[in-house]
Amino acid sequence: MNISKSEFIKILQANADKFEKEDLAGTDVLSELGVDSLGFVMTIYAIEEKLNIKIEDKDLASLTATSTVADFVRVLAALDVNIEV
Amino acid sequence: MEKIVITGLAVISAQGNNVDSFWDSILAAKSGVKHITRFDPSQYRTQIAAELQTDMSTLLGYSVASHSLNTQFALACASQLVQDAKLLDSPLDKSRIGICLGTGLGGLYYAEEALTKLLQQGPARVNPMCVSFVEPNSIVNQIAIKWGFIGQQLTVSTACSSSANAIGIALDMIRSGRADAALTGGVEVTVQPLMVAGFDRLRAMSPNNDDPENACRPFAVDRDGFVLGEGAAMLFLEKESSAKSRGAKIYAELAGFGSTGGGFHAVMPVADGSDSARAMKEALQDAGAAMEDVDLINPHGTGTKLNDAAEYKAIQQVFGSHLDDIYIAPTKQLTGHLLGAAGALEAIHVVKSLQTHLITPFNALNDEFQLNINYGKPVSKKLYCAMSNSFGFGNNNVSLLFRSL
Repeated sequence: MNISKSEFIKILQANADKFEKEDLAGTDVLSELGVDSLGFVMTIYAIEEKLNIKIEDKDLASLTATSTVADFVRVLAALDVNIEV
Repeated sequence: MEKIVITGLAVISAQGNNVDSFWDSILAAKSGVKHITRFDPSQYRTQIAAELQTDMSTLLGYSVASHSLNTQFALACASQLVQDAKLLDSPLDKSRIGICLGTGLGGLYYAEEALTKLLQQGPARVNPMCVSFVEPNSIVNQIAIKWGFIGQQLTVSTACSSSANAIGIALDMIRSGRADAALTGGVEVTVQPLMVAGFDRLRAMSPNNDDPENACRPFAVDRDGFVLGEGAAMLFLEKESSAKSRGAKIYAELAGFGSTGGGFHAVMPVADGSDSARAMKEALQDAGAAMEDVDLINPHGTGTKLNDAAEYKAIQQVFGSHLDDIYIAPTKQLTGHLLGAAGALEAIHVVKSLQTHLITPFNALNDEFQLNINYGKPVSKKLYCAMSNSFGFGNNNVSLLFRSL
Protein backbone atom coordinates (compact mmCIF):
# COMPACT_ATOMS: atom_id res chain seq x y z
CA MET A 1 0.00 0.00 0.00
CA ASN A 2 1.45 3.32 -1.08
CA ILE A 3 0.69 6.95 -0.37
CA SER A 4 2.48 9.45 -2.58
CA LYS A 5 4.36 12.34 -1.02
CA SER A 6 1.88 14.85 -2.42
CA GLU A 7 -1.07 12.87 -1.01
CA PHE A 8 0.65 12.66 2.37
CA ILE A 9 1.29 16.43 2.36
CA LYS A 10 -2.41 17.02 1.56
CA ILE A 11 -3.47 14.82 4.47
CA LEU A 12 -1.18 16.68 6.86
CA GLN A 13 -2.29 20.07 5.54
CA ALA A 14 -5.94 19.14 6.10
CA ASN A 15 -5.25 18.17 9.69
CA ALA A 16 -2.54 20.57 10.86
CA ASP A 17 -3.36 24.06 12.05
CA LYS A 18 -0.31 25.84 10.70
CA PHE A 19 1.13 23.68 7.95
CA GLU A 20 2.47 26.34 5.62
CA LYS A 21 5.37 24.50 3.92
CA GLU A 22 5.01 23.31 0.36
CA ASP A 23 7.43 20.46 0.86
CA LEU A 24 8.15 17.97 3.60
CA ALA A 25 11.44 16.62 5.00
CA GLY A 26 12.02 13.52 7.08
CA THR A 27 13.55 15.68 9.80
CA ASP A 28 10.43 17.85 10.20
CA VAL A 29 8.93 17.48 13.67
CA LEU A 30 5.21 16.69 13.47
CA SER A 31 4.21 19.01 16.31
CA GLU A 32 6.15 21.88 14.73
CA LEU A 33 4.16 21.37 11.53
CA GLY A 34 1.02 22.01 13.57
CA VAL A 35 0.01 18.38 13.94
CA ASP A 36 -1.37 18.50 17.47
CA SER A 37 -2.99 15.56 19.30
CA LEU A 38 -6.32 15.94 17.46
CA GLY A 39 -4.54 16.56 14.16
CA PHE A 40 -2.60 13.33 14.68
CA VAL A 41 -5.79 11.37 15.36
CA MET A 42 -7.39 12.89 12.25
CA THR A 43 -4.27 12.12 10.17
CA ILE A 44 -4.41 8.47 11.24
CA TYR A 45 -8.14 8.42 10.46
CA ALA A 46 -7.51 9.88 6.98
CA ILE A 47 -4.89 7.20 6.25
CA GLU A 48 -7.20 4.46 7.55
CA GLU A 49 -10.00 5.74 5.33
CA LYS A 50 -7.79 6.11 2.29
CA LEU A 51 -6.32 2.62 2.50
CA ASN A 52 -9.23 0.88 4.21
CA ILE A 53 -7.03 -0.37 7.05
CA LYS A 54 -7.16 -0.19 10.83
CA ILE A 55 -4.17 1.15 12.73
CA GLU A 56 -4.02 0.00 16.36
CA ASP A 57 -2.85 2.17 19.26
CA LYS A 58 0.01 -0.26 19.96
CA ASP A 59 1.38 0.38 16.48
CA LEU A 60 1.65 4.08 17.30
CA ALA A 61 3.08 3.66 20.81
CA SER A 62 6.59 4.70 19.81
CA LEU A 63 5.50 8.11 18.53
CA THR A 64 5.72 11.16 20.83
CA ALA A 65 5.27 14.92 20.62
CA THR A 66 8.80 15.25 19.29
CA SER A 67 8.52 12.54 16.64
CA THR A 68 9.58 13.47 13.14
CA VAL A 69 7.99 12.79 9.79
CA ALA A 70 10.61 10.05 9.30
CA ASP A 71 9.58 8.42 12.60
CA PHE A 72 5.96 8.43 11.46
CA VAL A 73 6.86 7.05 8.04
CA ARG A 74 8.82 4.22 9.71
CA VAL A 75 5.85 3.30 11.88
CA LEU A 76 3.60 3.23 8.84
CA ALA A 77 6.13 1.20 6.84
CA ALA A 78 6.01 -1.47 9.55
CA LEU A 79 2.29 -1.68 8.78
CA ASP A 80 3.09 -2.06 5.07
CA VAL A 81 2.04 1.53 4.31
CA ASN A 82 4.79 3.10 2.23
CA ILE A 83 5.27 6.83 1.90
CA GLU A 84 8.22 8.31 0.01
CA VAL A 85 9.47 11.39 1.86
CA MET B 1 -35.41 51.41 26.81
CA GLU B 2 -32.95 51.94 24.00
CA LYS B 3 -33.89 50.60 20.57
CA ILE B 4 -32.12 47.47 19.35
CA VAL B 5 -31.50 47.64 15.62
CA ILE B 6 -30.48 45.31 12.84
CA THR B 7 -27.23 46.29 11.16
CA GLY B 8 -26.45 43.19 9.15
CA LEU B 9 -28.25 40.49 7.16
CA ALA B 10 -27.02 37.27 5.55
CA VAL B 11 -28.64 34.36 3.71
CA ILE B 12 -27.54 30.99 2.34
CA SER B 13 -30.51 29.38 0.61
CA ALA B 14 -31.70 27.40 -2.38
CA GLN B 15 -32.96 30.70 -3.79
CA GLY B 16 -29.69 32.53 -3.54
CA ASN B 17 -26.50 32.59 -1.53
CA ASN B 18 -26.64 36.22 -0.53
CA VAL B 19 -29.37 38.60 0.57
CA ASP B 20 -29.65 40.34 -2.80
CA SER B 21 -30.14 37.18 -4.85
CA PHE B 22 -32.54 35.76 -2.23
CA TRP B 23 -34.54 38.97 -2.28
CA ASP B 24 -34.60 39.08 -6.10
CA SER B 25 -36.02 35.52 -6.11
CA ILE B 26 -38.66 36.46 -3.54
CA LEU B 27 -39.67 39.58 -5.49
CA ALA B 28 -40.09 37.38 -8.59
CA ALA B 29 -42.06 34.74 -6.60
CA LYS B 30 -39.44 32.25 -7.73
CA SER B 31 -39.50 28.96 -5.85
CA GLY B 32 -36.40 27.10 -4.72
CA VAL B 33 -38.24 23.75 -4.56
CA LYS B 34 -37.06 20.98 -6.90
CA HIS B 35 -36.63 17.22 -6.91
CA ILE B 36 -34.26 15.95 -4.22
CA THR B 37 -30.79 15.05 -5.51
CA ARG B 38 -28.76 14.52 -2.29
CA PHE B 39 -30.11 10.99 -1.96
CA ASP B 40 -32.41 8.77 -3.99
CA PRO B 41 -35.93 9.78 -2.90
CA SER B 42 -37.75 7.30 -5.16
CA GLN B 43 -39.14 5.30 -2.23
CA TYR B 44 -40.47 8.40 -0.48
CA ARG B 45 -43.98 9.81 -0.62
CA THR B 46 -42.55 13.33 -0.94
CA GLN B 47 -39.54 13.62 -3.28
CA ILE B 48 -39.08 17.40 -3.44
CA ALA B 49 -37.35 20.05 -1.34
CA ALA B 50 -35.57 23.39 -1.56
CA GLU B 51 -32.19 21.68 -1.37
CA LEU B 52 -29.01 23.74 -1.05
CA GLN B 53 -26.59 22.39 -3.64
CA THR B 54 -23.87 25.07 -3.58
CA ASP B 55 -20.41 24.01 -2.41
CA MET B 56 -19.62 26.24 0.57
CA SER B 57 -15.84 26.05 0.03
CA THR B 58 -16.30 27.44 -3.49
CA LEU B 59 -18.58 30.15 -2.15
CA LEU B 60 -16.11 31.18 0.54
CA GLY B 61 -12.96 30.87 -1.56
CA TYR B 62 -11.28 28.63 1.02
CA SER B 63 -11.87 25.07 2.12
CA VAL B 64 -14.37 24.33 4.87
CA ALA B 65 -14.58 20.68 3.81
CA SER B 66 -13.26 19.50 7.18
CA HIS B 67 -16.41 20.87 8.88
CA SER B 68 -19.85 19.27 9.05
CA LEU B 69 -22.32 20.51 6.43
CA ASN B 70 -24.40 22.56 8.88
CA THR B 71 -21.25 24.24 10.16
CA GLN B 72 -20.23 24.93 6.55
CA PHE B 73 -23.59 26.69 6.06
CA ALA B 74 -23.01 28.62 9.30
CA LEU B 75 -19.51 29.75 8.35
CA ALA B 76 -20.55 30.81 4.85
CA CYS B 77 -23.52 32.76 6.19
CA ALA B 78 -21.55 34.38 9.03
CA SER B 79 -18.87 35.43 6.56
CA GLN B 80 -21.50 37.45 4.68
CA LEU B 81 -22.87 38.88 7.91
CA VAL B 82 -19.44 39.99 9.12
CA GLN B 83 -18.99 41.90 5.86
CA ASP B 84 -22.50 43.34 5.71
CA ALA B 85 -22.39 44.59 9.31
CA LYS B 86 -18.81 45.81 8.76
CA LEU B 87 -17.47 43.90 11.76
CA LEU B 88 -13.91 43.27 10.59
CA ASP B 89 -12.60 46.69 11.61
CA SER B 90 -15.42 47.76 13.88
CA PRO B 91 -14.83 49.46 17.24
CA LEU B 92 -17.11 46.88 18.90
CA ASP B 93 -15.50 44.92 21.74
CA LYS B 94 -15.45 41.29 20.56
CA SER B 95 -15.76 40.06 24.15
CA ARG B 96 -19.13 41.84 24.24
CA ILE B 97 -20.46 40.31 20.99
CA GLY B 98 -22.73 37.36 21.73
CA ILE B 99 -23.71 34.57 19.38
CA CYS B 100 -27.18 33.03 19.58
CA LEU B 101 -28.23 30.68 16.80
CA GLY B 102 -31.16 28.32 16.41
CA THR B 103 -31.25 24.85 14.93
CA GLY B 104 -33.89 22.18 15.24
CA LEU B 105 -31.80 19.24 14.11
CA GLY B 106 -28.19 20.27 14.75
CA GLY B 107 -25.83 17.75 13.18
CA LEU B 108 -28.40 14.99 12.98
CA TYR B 109 -27.76 14.57 9.25
CA TYR B 110 -24.18 13.63 10.13
CA ALA B 111 -25.35 11.18 12.80
CA GLU B 112 -27.19 9.35 10.03
CA GLU B 113 -24.01 9.03 8.00
CA ALA B 114 -21.91 8.04 11.01
CA LEU B 115 -24.45 5.49 12.24
CA THR B 116 -24.58 3.87 8.81
CA LYS B 117 -20.80 3.56 8.86
CA LEU B 118 -20.78 2.26 12.42
CA LEU B 119 -23.29 -0.46 11.62
CA GLN B 120 -21.70 -1.43 8.31
CA GLN B 121 -17.98 -1.13 9.14
CA GLY B 122 -17.68 -1.00 12.92
CA PRO B 123 -16.57 1.64 15.43
CA ALA B 124 -13.04 1.96 14.04
CA ARG B 125 -14.46 3.64 10.95
CA VAL B 126 -16.26 6.44 12.82
CA ASN B 127 -14.76 9.90 12.25
CA PRO B 128 -12.96 11.16 15.39
CA MET B 129 -14.82 14.47 14.92
CA CYS B 130 -18.20 12.70 15.03
CA VAL B 131 -19.26 14.18 18.39
CA SER B 132 -18.32 17.69 17.33
CA PHE B 133 -20.17 17.24 14.03
CA VAL B 134 -23.36 15.97 15.66
CA GLU B 135 -23.68 18.35 18.60
CA PRO B 136 -25.90 21.34 17.73
CA ASN B 137 -23.50 23.87 19.24
CA SER B 138 -20.77 23.44 16.60
CA ILE B 139 -22.41 26.11 14.42
CA VAL B 140 -21.91 28.66 17.18
CA ASN B 141 -18.44 27.75 18.39
CA GLN B 142 -16.94 27.58 14.91
CA ILE B 143 -18.12 31.14 14.22
CA ALA B 144 -16.60 32.24 17.54
CA ILE B 145 -13.31 30.54 16.65
CA LYS B 146 -13.23 32.03 13.15
CA TRP B 147 -14.04 35.66 14.01
CA GLY B 148 -13.16 35.86 17.71
CA PHE B 149 -16.61 36.87 18.97
CA ILE B 150 -16.30 35.73 22.56
CA GLY B 151 -19.34 37.05 24.38
CA GLN B 152 -22.13 34.71 25.49
CA GLN B 153 -22.64 31.73 23.18
CA LEU B 154 -26.01 29.99 22.92
CA THR B 155 -27.56 27.39 20.65
CA VAL B 156 -31.35 27.31 20.85
CA SER B 157 -33.38 24.27 19.84
CA THR B 158 -37.16 24.62 19.92
CA ALA B 159 -38.03 22.76 16.69
CA CYS B 160 -39.38 25.07 13.98
CA SER B 161 -39.28 28.18 16.16
CA SER B 162 -35.58 27.68 17.05
CA SER B 163 -34.13 30.63 15.17
CA ALA B 164 -37.05 32.92 16.00
CA ASN B 165 -36.44 32.15 19.69
CA ALA B 166 -32.70 32.66 19.10
CA ILE B 167 -33.36 36.14 17.67
CA GLY B 168 -35.59 37.01 20.61
CA ILE B 169 -33.06 35.70 23.12
CA ALA B 170 -30.33 37.72 21.37
CA LEU B 171 -32.56 40.78 21.79
CA ASP B 172 -32.88 39.99 25.50
CA MET B 173 -29.11 39.43 25.69
CA ILE B 174 -28.49 43.01 24.61
CA ARG B 175 -31.37 44.55 26.55
CA SER B 176 -30.17 42.86 29.75
CA GLY B 177 -26.65 44.22 29.31
CA ARG B 178 -25.10 40.78 28.95
CA ALA B 179 -23.80 41.76 25.51
CA ASP B 180 -23.44 44.95 23.46
CA ALA B 181 -24.26 43.23 20.18
CA ALA B 182 -25.19 39.79 18.92
CA LEU B 183 -24.89 37.62 15.86
CA THR B 184 -28.13 35.68 15.62
CA GLY B 185 -30.29 33.59 13.29
CA GLY B 186 -30.46 29.93 12.38
CA VAL B 187 -28.87 27.10 10.46
CA GLU B 188 -30.41 23.84 9.26
CA VAL B 189 -29.54 20.87 7.08
CA THR B 190 -32.85 19.13 6.41
CA VAL B 191 -32.50 17.14 3.19
CA GLN B 192 -31.34 13.94 4.83
CA PRO B 193 -32.83 10.46 4.44
CA LEU B 194 -33.96 9.89 8.03
CA MET B 195 -35.66 13.24 8.68
CA VAL B 196 -37.37 13.25 5.29
CA ALA B 197 -38.60 9.73 6.09
CA GLY B 198 -39.90 10.91 9.47
CA PHE B 199 -41.90 13.79 8.01
CA ASP B 200 -42.96 11.48 5.19
CA ARG B 201 -44.41 9.00 7.67
CA LEU B 202 -46.26 11.82 9.44
CA ARG B 203 -47.75 12.74 6.04
CA ALA B 204 -46.90 16.32 6.93
CA MET B 205 -45.29 17.14 3.58
CA SER B 206 -46.97 17.77 0.24
CA PRO B 207 -46.82 14.73 -2.06
CA ASN B 208 -47.24 16.97 -5.11
CA ASN B 209 -43.97 15.77 -6.68
CA ASP B 210 -45.06 16.66 -10.21
CA ASP B 211 -45.37 20.36 -9.45
CA PRO B 212 -42.61 21.19 -6.94
CA GLU B 213 -42.90 24.97 -7.26
CA ASN B 214 -46.58 24.97 -6.32
CA ALA B 215 -46.56 22.03 -3.93
CA CYS B 216 -46.61 24.09 -0.71
CA ARG B 217 -49.85 26.10 -0.65
CA PRO B 218 -50.17 27.96 2.67
CA PHE B 219 -53.76 28.80 3.67
CA ALA B 220 -55.15 27.31 0.43
CA VAL B 221 -58.32 25.22 0.43
CA ASP B 222 -56.40 22.36 -1.19
CA ARG B 223 -53.22 22.64 0.91
CA ASP B 224 -51.66 19.25 1.59
CA GLY B 225 -48.50 19.86 3.56
CA PHE B 226 -45.17 21.68 3.68
CA VAL B 227 -42.02 21.21 1.65
CA LEU B 228 -38.60 21.13 3.28
CA GLY B 229 -35.98 23.81 2.69
CA GLU B 230 -32.51 24.24 4.17
CA GLY B 231 -29.79 26.80 4.62
CA ALA B 232 -28.85 29.58 7.01
CA ALA B 233 -30.02 33.09 7.76
CA MET B 234 -28.42 35.55 10.16
CA LEU B 235 -28.92 39.06 11.53
CA PHE B 236 -26.60 41.33 13.49
CA LEU B 237 -28.20 43.16 16.39
CA GLU B 238 -26.86 46.10 18.38
CA LYS B 239 -28.05 49.16 20.28
CA GLU B 240 -29.15 52.06 18.09
CA SER B 241 -26.53 54.33 19.73
CA SER B 242 -23.78 51.83 18.91
CA ALA B 243 -24.91 51.56 15.30
CA LYS B 244 -25.06 55.32 14.90
CA SER B 245 -21.72 55.99 16.57
CA ARG B 246 -19.90 53.57 14.29
CA GLY B 247 -21.84 54.64 11.20
CA ALA B 248 -23.41 51.23 10.60
CA LYS B 249 -26.23 50.78 8.10
CA ILE B 250 -29.50 50.33 10.00
CA TYR B 251 -32.08 48.08 8.33
CA ALA B 252 -34.85 48.18 10.94
CA GLU B 253 -35.61 47.94 14.64
CA LEU B 254 -36.22 44.59 16.33
CA ALA B 255 -38.93 45.94 18.62
CA GLY B 256 -40.70 43.01 20.25
CA PHE B 257 -40.42 39.35 21.18
CA GLY B 258 -43.20 37.05 22.33
CA SER B 259 -42.55 33.42 23.25
CA THR B 260 -45.14 31.01 24.61
CA GLY B 261 -45.88 27.32 25.00
CA GLY B 262 -49.07 25.44 24.32
CA GLY B 263 -48.58 22.31 26.43
CA PHE B 264 -50.79 20.29 24.14
CA HIS B 265 -49.20 17.83 21.70
CA ALA B 266 -45.89 16.63 20.25
CA VAL B 267 -46.73 17.52 16.66
CA MET B 268 -50.24 19.03 16.55
CA PRO B 269 -51.06 22.71 17.09
CA VAL B 270 -53.55 23.94 19.68
CA ALA B 271 -56.64 24.03 17.47
CA ASP B 272 -58.02 27.38 18.63
CA GLY B 273 -54.65 29.12 18.26
CA SER B 274 -54.85 30.56 21.76
CA ASP B 275 -51.21 29.76 22.55
CA SER B 276 -49.79 31.40 19.42
CA ALA B 277 -52.18 34.35 19.87
CA ARG B 278 -50.53 34.93 23.26
CA ALA B 279 -47.11 35.01 21.58
CA MET B 280 -48.33 37.67 19.14
CA LYS B 281 -49.85 39.76 21.94
CA GLU B 282 -46.65 39.45 23.97
CA ALA B 283 -44.59 40.68 21.02
CA LEU B 284 -46.88 43.69 20.55
CA GLN B 285 -46.77 44.49 24.25
CA ASP B 286 -42.99 44.06 24.39
CA ALA B 287 -42.64 46.55 21.54
CA GLY B 288 -45.14 48.99 23.03
CA ALA B 289 -47.10 48.64 19.80
CA ALA B 290 -50.81 48.51 19.09
CA MET B 291 -52.20 45.80 16.85
CA GLU B 292 -53.34 48.56 14.48
CA ASP B 293 -49.65 49.44 13.88
CA VAL B 294 -49.02 46.14 12.07
CA ASP B 295 -48.99 46.33 8.26
CA LEU B 296 -47.52 42.95 7.35
CA ILE B 297 -47.31 39.45 8.83
CA ASN B 298 -45.02 36.70 7.66
CA PRO B 299 -46.99 33.82 9.18
CA HIS B 300 -45.64 30.44 10.16
CA GLY B 301 -47.87 29.30 7.27
CA THR B 302 -46.53 25.83 6.62
CA GLY B 303 -49.34 24.73 4.32
CA THR B 304 -50.57 21.92 6.57
CA LYS B 305 -54.29 21.62 7.23
CA LEU B 306 -54.06 21.92 11.00
CA ASN B 307 -51.31 24.53 11.37
CA ASP B 308 -52.75 27.07 8.97
CA ALA B 309 -56.25 26.75 10.41
CA ALA B 310 -54.96 27.28 13.96
CA GLU B 311 -52.74 30.19 12.93
CA TYR B 312 -55.63 31.89 11.13
CA LYS B 313 -57.73 31.65 14.29
CA ALA B 314 -54.84 33.07 16.33
CA ILE B 315 -54.29 36.00 13.97
CA GLN B 316 -58.02 36.69 13.94
CA GLN B 317 -58.11 36.74 17.77
CA VAL B 318 -55.28 39.26 17.94
CA PHE B 319 -56.05 41.54 15.00
CA GLY B 320 -59.83 41.27 14.58
CA SER B 321 -61.15 43.45 11.77
CA HIS B 322 -57.73 45.11 11.36
CA LEU B 323 -56.72 41.87 9.63
CA ASP B 324 -58.40 43.34 6.52
CA ASP B 325 -55.64 45.99 6.45
CA ILE B 326 -52.71 43.60 6.95
CA TYR B 327 -50.82 41.90 4.15
CA ILE B 328 -49.99 38.24 4.79
CA ALA B 329 -46.76 36.94 3.22
CA PRO B 330 -46.44 33.13 3.59
CA THR B 331 -42.93 32.75 2.21
CA LYS B 332 -42.68 28.99 2.79
CA GLN B 333 -44.54 28.62 -0.50
CA LEU B 334 -41.28 29.72 -2.16
CA THR B 335 -38.50 28.92 0.31
CA GLY B 336 -39.71 25.61 1.66
CA HIS B 337 -39.66 25.09 5.41
CA LEU B 338 -36.17 25.52 6.85
CA LEU B 339 -37.32 24.12 10.23
CA GLY B 340 -34.99 25.62 12.85
CA ALA B 341 -33.69 28.24 10.39
CA ALA B 342 -37.14 29.25 9.10
CA GLY B 343 -37.74 32.03 11.60
CA ALA B 344 -34.47 33.74 10.74
CA LEU B 345 -35.06 33.53 6.98
CA GLU B 346 -38.55 34.94 7.45
CA ALA B 347 -37.21 37.68 9.74
CA ILE B 348 -34.95 38.71 6.87
CA HIS B 349 -37.95 38.72 4.51
CA VAL B 350 -39.79 41.00 6.91
CA VAL B 351 -36.82 43.32 7.43
CA LYS B 352 -36.26 43.63 3.67
CA SER B 353 -39.98 44.31 3.18
CA LEU B 354 -39.80 47.13 5.76
CA GLN B 355 -36.61 48.50 4.22
CA THR B 356 -37.91 48.53 0.65
CA HIS B 357 -41.62 49.15 1.43
CA LEU B 358 -42.55 46.30 -0.88
CA ILE B 359 -45.17 43.58 -0.42
CA THR B 360 -43.68 40.52 -2.05
CA PRO B 361 -45.81 38.39 -4.39
CA PHE B 362 -46.84 34.74 -4.32
CA ASN B 363 -48.12 32.24 -6.80
CA ALA B 364 -51.90 32.14 -6.92
CA LEU B 365 -53.67 30.14 -4.23
CA ASN B 366 -57.29 29.30 -3.63
CA ASP B 367 -57.13 30.95 -0.20
CA GLU B 368 -59.55 29.39 2.30
CA PHE B 369 -59.46 32.37 4.65
CA GLN B 370 -59.67 35.39 2.28
CA LEU B 371 -56.37 36.77 3.56
CA ASN B 372 -54.57 39.69 1.91
CA ILE B 373 -51.96 37.66 0.08
CA ASN B 374 -50.39 39.50 -2.83
CA TYR B 375 -50.38 37.52 -6.07
CA GLY B 376 -48.51 38.42 -9.22
CA LYS B 377 -46.13 41.36 -8.77
CA PRO B 378 -44.60 43.27 -5.85
CA VAL B 379 -46.79 46.05 -4.45
CA SER B 380 -45.40 49.30 -3.05
CA LYS B 381 -46.82 50.26 0.33
CA LYS B 382 -45.46 52.44 3.10
CA LEU B 383 -44.70 49.87 5.81
CA TYR B 384 -44.19 50.76 9.44
CA CYS B 385 -44.45 47.59 11.46
CA ALA B 386 -44.25 43.88 10.58
CA MET B 387 -44.61 40.63 12.49
CA SER B 388 -42.99 37.26 11.88
CA ASN B 389 -44.52 34.12 13.42
CA SER B 390 -42.75 30.82 14.00
CA PHE B 391 -44.39 27.85 15.68
CA GLY B 392 -42.58 24.64 16.52
CA PHE B 393 -43.55 21.03 17.18
CA GLY B 394 -44.44 20.68 20.83
CA ASN B 395 -46.28 24.04 20.75
CA ASN B 396 -43.26 26.37 20.93
CA ASN B 397 -44.61 29.68 19.64
CA VAL B 398 -42.62 32.79 18.81
CA SER B 399 -43.63 36.15 17.38
CA LEU B 400 -41.12 38.84 16.51
CA LEU B 401 -42.06 42.44 15.81
CA PHE B 402 -39.98 44.68 13.57
CA ARG B 403 -40.35 48.41 12.90
CA SER B 404 -38.95 50.55 10.13
CA LEU B 405 -36.73 53.47 11.20
